[in-house]
Amino acid sequence: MGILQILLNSMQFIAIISLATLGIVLIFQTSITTNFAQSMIATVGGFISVTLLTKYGVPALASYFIAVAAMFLFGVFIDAVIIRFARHVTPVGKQMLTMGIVLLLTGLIPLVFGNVVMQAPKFSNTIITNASNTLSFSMHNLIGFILAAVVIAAIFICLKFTKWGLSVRATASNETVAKMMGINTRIITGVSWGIAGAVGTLAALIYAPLTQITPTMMVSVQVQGFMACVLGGFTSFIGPIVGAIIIPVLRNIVGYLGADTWKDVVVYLVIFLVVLIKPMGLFGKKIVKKV
Amino acid sequence: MGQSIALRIKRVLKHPLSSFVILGIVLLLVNVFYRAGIIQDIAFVRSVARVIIYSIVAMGFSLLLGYAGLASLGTSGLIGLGAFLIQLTYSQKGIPMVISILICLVIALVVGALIGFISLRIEGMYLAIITLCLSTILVELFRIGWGTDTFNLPRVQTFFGKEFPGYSSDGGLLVRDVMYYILVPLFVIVAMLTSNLMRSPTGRAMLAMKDSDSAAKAMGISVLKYRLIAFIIATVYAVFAGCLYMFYFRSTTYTDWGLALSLNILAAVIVGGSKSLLGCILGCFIIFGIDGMFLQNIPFFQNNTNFIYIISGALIIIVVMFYPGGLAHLWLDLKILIRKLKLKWRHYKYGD
Repeated sequence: MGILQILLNSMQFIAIISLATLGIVLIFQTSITTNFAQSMIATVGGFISVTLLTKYGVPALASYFIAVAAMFLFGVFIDAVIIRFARHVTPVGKQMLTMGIVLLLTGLIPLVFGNVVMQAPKFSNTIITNASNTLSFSMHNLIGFILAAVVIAAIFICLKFTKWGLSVRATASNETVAKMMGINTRIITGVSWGIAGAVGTLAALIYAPLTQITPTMMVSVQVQGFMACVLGGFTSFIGPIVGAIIIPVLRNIVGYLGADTWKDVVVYLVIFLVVLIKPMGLFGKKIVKKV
Repeated sequence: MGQSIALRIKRVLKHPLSSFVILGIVLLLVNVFYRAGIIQDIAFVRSVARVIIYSIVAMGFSLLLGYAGLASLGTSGLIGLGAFLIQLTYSQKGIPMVISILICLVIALVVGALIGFISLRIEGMYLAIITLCLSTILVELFRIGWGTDTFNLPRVQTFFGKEFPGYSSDGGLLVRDVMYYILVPLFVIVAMLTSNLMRSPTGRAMLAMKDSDSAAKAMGISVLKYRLIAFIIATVYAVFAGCLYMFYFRSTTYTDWGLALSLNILAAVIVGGSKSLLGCILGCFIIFGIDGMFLQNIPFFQNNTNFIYIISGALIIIVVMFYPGGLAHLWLDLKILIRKLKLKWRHYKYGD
């Protein structure tokens, strides 16, 4: 197994983690909180898609679209009903709000979708190998990776070049000033929550076929998303994505070098050491608070 | 003469530490009532023990979050460290109970100091997630070192060379009773110590640090010293609670110590009120206790366990949104409300 195969194997987790990370970062920048509910919202999206597929026989593509759209609306709903009214709560308090949402959804998912274990079908079951049979990867991973790359690229282009992106960046840097400049920060935060829900759902859709759909399936992805954010720096948009690419690759390389049981420990230690050397992450900037 | 005794009792009750003693007596009575047959369910007593153990963690956390203003998501890993160190020292190496707890506390001291030094460089949300990272490393080490099986600790047999009170080869439950009677006084002592610490110059210095590092530095407060103190105390409490957990519940696996437990403890502290010890205990009671103590006995919740999650989730959201100071303020607000109502009643009765 060469380095190329390691990269190919890492592809699916790069896609999943970078999508999850993008949601976390968008919400962090606009609402100044780490969103623990990100994975739960995504899981609900996964459940919707699988239920539509298996119970009601909706075509796969349609079910994905419905799930993503529903979670977009759900994200906006959470912002409109809960987060918007908690603007004066401390950041830790806001974290607790998202934690409350996690518990709420943990209870609601079995009520709504039933207690059965479900298996989502893959996008495609073909496995592609090259001529000499040294490299192989599944079509599912490729589609997931391309999907993630396109979505992330689209969001980055929008952030850079559209008025919406400018508003998001302005809100991220200072909400009060952004408001004074005539930006409707309510819509900006609402849409950020919506997009976070949608990209999270996309991550769940890519991840779900690889495992079984359960309410806790995305928790490890979420934790790695947080690690990616810290590694890349919460204050930039590009940093966390870089972090999300580094983590799965590093994990697979460590696993390849023979330390399979120790790979998580090594990856977390590396993240810890990097953050110890650069406390604001690889791409983050230090914001000095005035007394 | 009778009045002077009443006055004396009143004075004792007004002492800030008396509330902990009363709480301790009530908690001791729980097990007495269970033995007397008034409380039928052993699950009730076990839930109370769980609340007590996690309250110790929450008190350290309250000092860390409410006073020093440092958020940590690594609590669960540290509790797990206590539990697994007991597994290593007491059960595998055969070191006596008290000494193995002391060893754990010394290790906790070192770990707490290390995290304290880290907190000087990494701040805010980064610190919270890096502590989560360290806790994940610890849990991974438990998994690698001890495997995925559930661990059972043997019953405590000896205590300072003598036979442990209540131990007999068949009556294991009595050992747990004695453990409970040890647990409660320890909990009260820890609560009193923490309460004193919060009102001492150390607590005040931490409060100053919480609002602004630079301002605190300008007032001559050593940020290094107080961050170290805050993290050492929080870590020692967490590891100590882990030891007690192991000696009371006597079984653990590495999956017990994930992110969910850290978040639950954070939730307990926030819901209860991060600056009040009684608030923290109340928060732990709500998050960890209500479920096992009451809801499990109601048939509706036995059939629909999901509603327990829904209720606690909704409760957290409602408290944080509408009662940001935490439930600790409830008592004070009720007092103010009663006083206002009394005043209104007087106006109504006697005119303005």
